[in-house]
Amino acid sequence: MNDIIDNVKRKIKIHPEELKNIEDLHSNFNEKIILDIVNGISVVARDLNNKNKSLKGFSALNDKIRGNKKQRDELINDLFINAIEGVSLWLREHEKSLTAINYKIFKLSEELIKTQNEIIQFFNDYKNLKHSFIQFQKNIENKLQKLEDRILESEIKNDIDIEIEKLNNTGFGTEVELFIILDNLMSGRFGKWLIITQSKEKQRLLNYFFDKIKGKINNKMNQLLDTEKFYKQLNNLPNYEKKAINYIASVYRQLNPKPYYDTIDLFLIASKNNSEENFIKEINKNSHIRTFMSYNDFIEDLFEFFAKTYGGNIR
Amino acid sequence: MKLGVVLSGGGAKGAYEAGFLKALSELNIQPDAIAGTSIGAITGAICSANIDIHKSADIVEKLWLELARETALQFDKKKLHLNLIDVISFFAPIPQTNIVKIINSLKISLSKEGILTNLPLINRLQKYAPPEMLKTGLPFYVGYSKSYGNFLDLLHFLNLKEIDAEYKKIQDLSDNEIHKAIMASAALPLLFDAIEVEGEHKRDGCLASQKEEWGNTPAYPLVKYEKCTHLIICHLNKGSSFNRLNPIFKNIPIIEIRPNENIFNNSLDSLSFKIEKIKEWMDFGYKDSIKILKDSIETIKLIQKRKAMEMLSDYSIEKLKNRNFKLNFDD
Repeated sequence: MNDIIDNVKRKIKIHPEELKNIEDLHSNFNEKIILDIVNGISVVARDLNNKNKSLKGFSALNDKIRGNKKQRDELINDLFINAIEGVSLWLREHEKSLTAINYKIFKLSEELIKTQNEIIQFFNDYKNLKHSFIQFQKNIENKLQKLEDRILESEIKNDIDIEIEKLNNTGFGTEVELFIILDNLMSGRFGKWLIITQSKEKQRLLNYFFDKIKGKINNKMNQLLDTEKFYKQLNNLPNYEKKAINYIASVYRQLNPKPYYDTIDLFLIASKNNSEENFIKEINKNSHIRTFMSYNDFIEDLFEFFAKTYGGNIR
Repeated sequence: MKLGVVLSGGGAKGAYEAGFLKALSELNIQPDAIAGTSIGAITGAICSANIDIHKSADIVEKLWLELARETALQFDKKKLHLNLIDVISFFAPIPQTNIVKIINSLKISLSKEGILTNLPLINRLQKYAPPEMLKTGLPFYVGYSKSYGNFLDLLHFLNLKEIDAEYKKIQDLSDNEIHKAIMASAALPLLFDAIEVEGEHKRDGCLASQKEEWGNTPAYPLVKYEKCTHLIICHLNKGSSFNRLNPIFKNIPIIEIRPNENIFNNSLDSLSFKIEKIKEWMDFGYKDSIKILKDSIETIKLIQKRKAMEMLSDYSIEKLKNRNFKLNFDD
């Protein structure tokens, strides 16, 4: 009849010593008491009482004389006393059990509340930590970006330095040199950087670039560009160089057809005409090409053209 | 746990025990040891020999239907004839000295013979519980009493004189004594012969029931010798004075099956082997037993369940404690 408890013992797979400790916590309220209450009263005492009631007349008298009735009465009394004692034990056991259960519920609830608070606190800490971490990550990313930008800026400055060094050193003439320098720079890191970088840094690098040019050809900046001299210098170049310039200028113009830019058109016209006469005629036909253009205007126009062509905005 | 089943005596009312065994079988309650007196000894012998409660319940039911269809109580014609001559000669108008009359009276009162034959029951025992099966069967005790001749045995039967009950473990007997002991347990004075077991004549155990039905309800040997931890007792007498509160049963949980108030109201029920009565009593035995056993077992199971759940909750709390949950139930 202990199958339920045995099942539980098997289920919990606990060390025998621990199991004994747990079992010892529960009073040994045994089956004997239960059966003496349930079976002893509802079956045995009832049967004895029915027997007493069923005897009548001579049978009842005979039963009484021989002391059987007294014996049954005593047994009924004993059964009741025993059962009442059992019930009181049972009740006490119930009270103890209920008290223990309620106390466990109270303790567990307290611990649950405490645990819940700790979890909430932990969650808040976690959220703060996560926020701090994200901030830290952003800061690091910003710093890294700035570092990368600074490195890139430094590299671009280096590129600018290298390219500007070509001014007055190639023998191609200032205009062609400027065209080559801008082509090289704008198709490289400088051009890309101008497109993606914010205005503050952009302006700093642009200033650097223009300052460098000015540093190199400061005496020419306000001078007017001599278109005929420009044509001659261009035509003095080997034919393949001239063709290359024409090809590059054509491609750029196709990429950025409007609005008109004096400088790129000047290069196109100068590089495709073999006679100065035709060159001048064509210049005259293209009224948008300014005949009075300073080197400063020339540099700004050509620079803006390249910048627009690569999708950037220098302003 | 070691479960002992006790089967009381009560003649034809023993059909009630067939219903009781059917209930045990249905509830899968398998006894570990048996004790019986009188008709309870016959039924107990079948349970002991066949061991499995399902098989035993079927055979006992079959036995009772057989006994009801045949004549269970048959007169021994030879003994009836001799007794009749004694009675006729006692009252005959031929002159007899007082000494002859006294000798005749003494002869009847000291006789250990009865007028009925126990052959129908012996045949059934041989068929369903032969000695070789009983030898290897469940531990089985019978309750009987010493025979002092018909007159004194009758006084014991009528509870007018006290006598001690005796118990015998069937497995301790030699093969040819086994059935004798069982039949001795059912040998009512005047009706059946007293039977010699181990050199002494024995009678029905019910003769030794003046005190708390010790003889008719042989629970004592199951506790004392067989060390049973639990008992289920099936009574056949209404208002049995068996006392479950006797100190010998101090730590023994007992379920008693007692016939309800609507049956066994006739004092001659013990001799009524009629088919309609047998069937009715088997049915009562089954219904009473199912109800009483279920009531008792359900209550115990409820309490066990509670205890088991408490152990489970304690176990879970221990686990929580081991995971650094600060639970302290000791304060």
